[in-house]
Amino acid sequence: MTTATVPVAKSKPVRRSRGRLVEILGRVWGDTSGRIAIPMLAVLVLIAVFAPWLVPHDPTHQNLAAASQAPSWLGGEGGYLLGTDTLGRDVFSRLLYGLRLSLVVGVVTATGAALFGLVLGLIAGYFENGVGMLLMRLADIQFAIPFVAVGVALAAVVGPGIVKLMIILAVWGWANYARTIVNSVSQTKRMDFVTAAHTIGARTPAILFRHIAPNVLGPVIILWSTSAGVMILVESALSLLGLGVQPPDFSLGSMLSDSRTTLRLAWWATVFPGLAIMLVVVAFNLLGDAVRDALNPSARTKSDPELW
Amino acid sequence: MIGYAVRRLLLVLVVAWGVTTFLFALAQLSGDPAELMAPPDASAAVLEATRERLGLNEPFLVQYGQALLSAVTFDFGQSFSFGQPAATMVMERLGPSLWLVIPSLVLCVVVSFGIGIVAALKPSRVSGRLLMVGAFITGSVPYFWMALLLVLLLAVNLQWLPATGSDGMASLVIPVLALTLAAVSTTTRLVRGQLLDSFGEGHVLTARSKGVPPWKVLFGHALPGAMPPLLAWLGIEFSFLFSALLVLEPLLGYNGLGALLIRSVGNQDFPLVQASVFCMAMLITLVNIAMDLIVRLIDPRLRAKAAA
Repeated sequence: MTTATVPVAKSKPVRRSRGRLVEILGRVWGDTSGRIAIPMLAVLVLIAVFAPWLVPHDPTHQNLAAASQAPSWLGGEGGYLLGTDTLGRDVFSRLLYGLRLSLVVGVVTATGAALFGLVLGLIAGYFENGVGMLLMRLADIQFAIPFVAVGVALAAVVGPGIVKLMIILAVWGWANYARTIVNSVSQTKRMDFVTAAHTIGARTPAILFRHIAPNVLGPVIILWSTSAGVMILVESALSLLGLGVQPPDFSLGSMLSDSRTTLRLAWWATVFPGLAIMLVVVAFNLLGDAVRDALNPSARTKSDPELW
Repeated sequence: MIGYAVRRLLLVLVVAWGVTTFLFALAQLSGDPAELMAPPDASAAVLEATRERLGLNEPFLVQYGQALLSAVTFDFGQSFSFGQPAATMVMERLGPSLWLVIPSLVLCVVVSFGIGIVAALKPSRVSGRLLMVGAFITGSVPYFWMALLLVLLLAVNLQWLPATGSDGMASLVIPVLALTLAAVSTTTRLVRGQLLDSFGEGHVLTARSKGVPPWKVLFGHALPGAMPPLLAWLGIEFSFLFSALLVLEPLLGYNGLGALLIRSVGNQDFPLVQASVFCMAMLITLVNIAMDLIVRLIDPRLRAKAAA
């Protein structure tokens, strides 16, 4: 309230909303998980962006003379940091490039699913008895089919491919978001400020996106940050089955698919890509935890009551 | 309660209809099965006869009606590639899959309740925190990679277990361990969180202040209050495990429903795809509904709410 005396009162709303964002980011940064997650993600993104300048070898170059070389620090020849696979490709270089695709898939599909889920969740909560009912039953149906089964079956129809897989992931992912927000949308819809917006003649899309959406963004953002890691895992799993990325492109998941049959010859070609997937997922999960605590302080384990 | 049960069971019908329709649409989109079944040099007459035999020349709506009927009678016709009734094959393969899912679920409950309770008793101590960090990291490990690591360790290096296949108890160890590790993390975190919430509730504090021994407070007062969301979660975990099976079974050469589905998708064997996805969806829905009903039965808070 003291800001009311500040002369530039005109720009107040803008400054307030920016202040809120900064405050949330500050809280994410203040959280232990957040303070680990943000630098981790920053490093991963930088590695992915600058991969072409960081790789010591061409990641797709096959060199059968140097096939299945152990990592150099385990006595392998040729100075390959993480060894080579059975086709003589440098695992470290492939890892850096594979990281690119995995990060893109995670962020893009999670964002797509979040937007799609937000819109459908708003519609389902606002028109709760007609369309909403239908949408929520659709979510129930989707929920009963294991996602991998959907991915596999759809890939059989439309053919395998990373872009198709990303679209399937994003489209199928709406249900989780819609389920999470549908109740608070229908509660918000009954609040006075929405009625007020109606009275002054605001149209339905404006009410949905300008007035109701900001009130349900919190859970959407929380779900987004946790689902990026899940999306990366699903993409890896489906690429492992040969349904995601197609050669010569590759992701961390398809690297596992190439190397799994040659565990005996070159375990490093399986172990390190998996470790990289795990690091990415750890980073996103940590971010998810930090964002949840920042947006929803009451969900934080309050002062941990120690009874015993 | 009975009204609630009936409404939940009606959902089974909705899901059955939705899944059947989804699968029917997929089959329609995926081209002509007659061409896949017949030898490459088959004459037009042979193709036509095959179409006639499979009922592909019937009008669209008749085919849709037949698809619905086949779901009701659980008779999906003969598998294209094996020439046996699809439903029978699915039921035969369901057993081996349940041999993976049920032990994993039981192990997951034992481990995560054990760790979750210990971590909840000492939430601020180093031991409690370390357990949760452990659970967090486990949750970020890709389960398919974990399975490959276990193969590397237990089958390739130590030679204690077969690397792949599905004969005997020994072949269960690796998939069950990988599934359990994948499921344990979230469950542990949930057990701890629910227990901590439960510790703060009036009836627990009252029991504690009246001098009830700590173990009695934990198992007689705090844990029962924490159970309902955990039971509901186990239903969700069940469907997650089935999703993971679809990746793990083909990866480890295990002859279960998951491997069957992935293979029949590859063969475009639609009767088999329909039968196996339908069977999984029904199983997942029924287990989740059973969990919901149990939660209703045991949670007096929900009963009071329903009565009001």
